Amino acid sequence: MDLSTINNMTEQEAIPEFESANAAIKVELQFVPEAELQQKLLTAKAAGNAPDVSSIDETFLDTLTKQEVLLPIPDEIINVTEEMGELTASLYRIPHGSDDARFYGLPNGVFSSALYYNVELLQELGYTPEDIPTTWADFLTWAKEVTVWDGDTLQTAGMAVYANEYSVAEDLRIQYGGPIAGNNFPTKDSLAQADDIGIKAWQFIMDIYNVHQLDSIAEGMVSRDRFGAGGAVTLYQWTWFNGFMDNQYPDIEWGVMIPPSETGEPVFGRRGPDVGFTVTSQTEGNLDAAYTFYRYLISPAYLARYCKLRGIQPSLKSMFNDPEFSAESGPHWAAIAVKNQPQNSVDFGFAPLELVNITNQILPSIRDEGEDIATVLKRAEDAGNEYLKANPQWSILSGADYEANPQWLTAVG
Amino acid sequence: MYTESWLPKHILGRVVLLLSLIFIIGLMWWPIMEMLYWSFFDKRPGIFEFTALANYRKLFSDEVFWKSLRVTFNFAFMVVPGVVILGLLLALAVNSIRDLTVRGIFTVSFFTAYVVPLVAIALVWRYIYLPGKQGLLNVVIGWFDISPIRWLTVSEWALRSLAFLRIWKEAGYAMVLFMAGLQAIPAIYYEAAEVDGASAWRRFRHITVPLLMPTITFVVIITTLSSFLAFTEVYVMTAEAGSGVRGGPNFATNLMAFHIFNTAIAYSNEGYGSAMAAVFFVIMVAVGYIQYRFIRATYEY
Repeated sequence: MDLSTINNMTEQEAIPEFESANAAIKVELQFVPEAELQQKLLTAKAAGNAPDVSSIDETFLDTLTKQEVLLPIPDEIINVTEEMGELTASLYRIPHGSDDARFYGLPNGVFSSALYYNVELLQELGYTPEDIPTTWADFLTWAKEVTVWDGDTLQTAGMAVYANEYSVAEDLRIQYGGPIAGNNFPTKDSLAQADDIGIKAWQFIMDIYNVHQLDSIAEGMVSRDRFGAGGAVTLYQWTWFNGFMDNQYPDIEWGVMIPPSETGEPVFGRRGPDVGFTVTSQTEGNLDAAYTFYRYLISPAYLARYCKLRGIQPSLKSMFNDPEFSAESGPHWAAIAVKNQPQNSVDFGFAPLELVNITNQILPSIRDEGEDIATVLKRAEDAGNEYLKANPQWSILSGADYEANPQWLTAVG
Repeated sequence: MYTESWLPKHILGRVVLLLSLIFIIGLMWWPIMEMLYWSFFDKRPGIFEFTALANYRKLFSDEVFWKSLRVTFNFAFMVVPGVVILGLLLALAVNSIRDLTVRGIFTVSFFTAYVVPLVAIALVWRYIYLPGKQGLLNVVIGWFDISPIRWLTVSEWALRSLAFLRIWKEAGYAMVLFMAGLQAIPAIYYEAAEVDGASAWRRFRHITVPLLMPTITFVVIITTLSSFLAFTEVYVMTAEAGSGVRGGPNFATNLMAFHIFNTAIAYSNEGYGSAMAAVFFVIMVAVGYIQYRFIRATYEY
């Protein structure tokens, strides 16, 4: 993902703004590649020089909490239930069910996948964004019409999807199975992949290549690069792509819409959390300043800018009705605002890297190796279940969790 | 003229030996012992429990571990003969150049690949191996009417592609070693064989190869070990475009060093990763010993 725009914004706008409002606090920024971050924080903690505030991936939350790298967020800093809602308060208060449960990290917001379109290509083809069909059946017919092949070379993809197939599969599961049966996790300690809806979802993806020929496996061109180069009319992509488009491809006029569904109506698919800032200070004298800065980072002032670049719907309830993040916010945002509403998409919580990597073996086996879909899904499901049995997760929002908390699937959830 | 140092010679020797011993124990044997110790524990974030042989028992039923081991051996079986043969051919070719300046230019050219950091080379080769017509290699084979190959994304080709890169990189180093070995063979042997009417092949077979055997043994052992420890190319070149998962497709390039790193560091399962490392350490020592004994026993002059 492209974090440079966020880094630039933080360094050039946010920190000067924070420092001018808090003259006694000086912020020094250090960038670390995400792949190295967890290990760096563990090492820094052991060496006694952990940074005061860190931005981490949600998959690190469990490990870093257990290793006591993260400090609990005091209630006076933020009332999570009041400011972020019941679902967030329930998910992030850890260890679950314990009297000592505290908040160690909070989501900046939620994001999901959506359908990006190239305005100029649409115009050349005689379409407007409103003409793009909203049901899969109509969309596939339309996308095939706008796809252009020159022999075995794909000139223009109707829907670029290469390297984003998982986002389609996850959305399709929810669309086919509904918000509870479509959840990848029937319970916190079980994984569903090889059920009928899973097989149907992956068959749908392979049909995009082999039947409808909207994109090319043989060319292996990452779909966001194809879209950015003007070689795709539409693109299925997680919405962190917003910042990427603005930064990498400023010449392309683009918009984003809710992805097609079976009926053109909700539920549209999955959304996922984006964590977030944490306090990791080991210097007693810096604690007040660290929490002051942390509060700034989860304030509307910072999140408004961060979320725009990151393509995520802010987690603060006070921002839910912000025109900038509403269904009326224009072609770069309206679809994100709509899809991320609780009644329109399902949040599975998040899973550890090990489990993510187990399910990430699915795509190369099916798409690149041509293995049987059911066999591959069963293999991933078995491996995932074996892992979950040995490593129970608090961070998963399962189908059973939603059955027990139906309000999480409603507009007020 | 010899001047007595402030430290008597016999004491200086012991101090130097002691420092070496501290270095070897502290930086080599201590970590190995620590690894063995951890392998008997469930050591994960927030957990440190003695589990005796549980990690080793788990290894026996861990399909990914065994697949990674097979992949690692397959990788070594491709790389070692490739490096030895290509290195030897290059050495023979370069060594036959009489003009020392030209010979120097060729030597430096072939050796350069070895001294450039592998991470930089892997980044370049990742682009060479791009699928479709984006990749340079596919453009080249296209000139011969060969369809584009997905070098890194199908298991049929992925491991071979990594092995080819390593052969290309290490052949220059082997070449330099072989050149040193070739230049140490007295010319008189060749002259005598030539007088006796021996063909070029017979001279190579019966003079060059036997007398080069110590060098070949050394190259085989160090190349085997470097193949077993290969990590960088997996990390840099095999990241799946969508998910970032490395070592694929379907663990086809999941070499042991990378698998151990993933388990112990990326997944923070240090106990289980240590058990893997311990087993792999024993395998590496055994393979090195067998190679040394076998090659030495076969050609003892």
